[in-house]
Amino acid sequence: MIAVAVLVVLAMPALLLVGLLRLVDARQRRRDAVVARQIAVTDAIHAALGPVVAPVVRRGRGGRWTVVLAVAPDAPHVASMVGLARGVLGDDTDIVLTALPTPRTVQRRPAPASKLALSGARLTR
Amino acid sequence: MAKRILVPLDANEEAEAVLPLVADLARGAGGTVRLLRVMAGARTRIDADGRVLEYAHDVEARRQAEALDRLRDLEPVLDGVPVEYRARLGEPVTEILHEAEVFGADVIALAVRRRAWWRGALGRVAAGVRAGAMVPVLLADGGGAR
Repeated sequence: MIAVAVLVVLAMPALLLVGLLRLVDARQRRRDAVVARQIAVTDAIHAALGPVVAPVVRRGRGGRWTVVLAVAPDAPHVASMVGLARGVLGDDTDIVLTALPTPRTVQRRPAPASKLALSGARLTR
Repeated sequence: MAKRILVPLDANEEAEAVLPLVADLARGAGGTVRLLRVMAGARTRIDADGRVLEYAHDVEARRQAEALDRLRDLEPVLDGVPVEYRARLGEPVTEILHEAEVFGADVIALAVRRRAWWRGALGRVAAGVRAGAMVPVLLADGGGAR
């Protein structure tokens, strides 16, 4: 009995070390999988559209993939980018677009002549 | 590809930033878009003498009609895409997820407002939808506070 207890105590550090190494290995494999998919998505987008965006791939909760694209929703080819990303990672992929949409241009009316005169501006002919 | 796209919109114009992209996606896949507006339920208003000023169901019906009108105004943005309109009453996250199930959505697309860094990256509704959705979510930055 004592011999078994001594054996367990002696084996404990080694078991702990093996456990930690396995954990590190699993984490590394998960990171490699994310990097591989990010490269695949980047290559797919760049091959089709050129180097227009640098996608970032993450693994979300529940193992669902998320692609972060730093483009505005109204930028050209966004639908193609989304389609390509989903083509590589599968249809069950979340897409996040992080850039702001282009602000709408507002047509400004020219200032009336009376205001120009007040501001000291001159009208030349 | 995304054949059935659910687009929850709120009263804010920034939420409509996602519509051109949704239109492109739907056109590319020959899909259908359903625009959804979720509003809080109303309460019957009673004055100090106990007289009813406004019944809850009247207020809700009016709000729903206004919301549907507002959604129909967005049709030109989705030109050439089959569009459906829905207005629901209740808690936004629950109603959006329920509508996604009813519609059989392939994607839920919503614009998120930028928030201050200490308030978390996503709003409560966007985060709730993302956490609870059984289908992919497309989040687009609609602008707002930084």
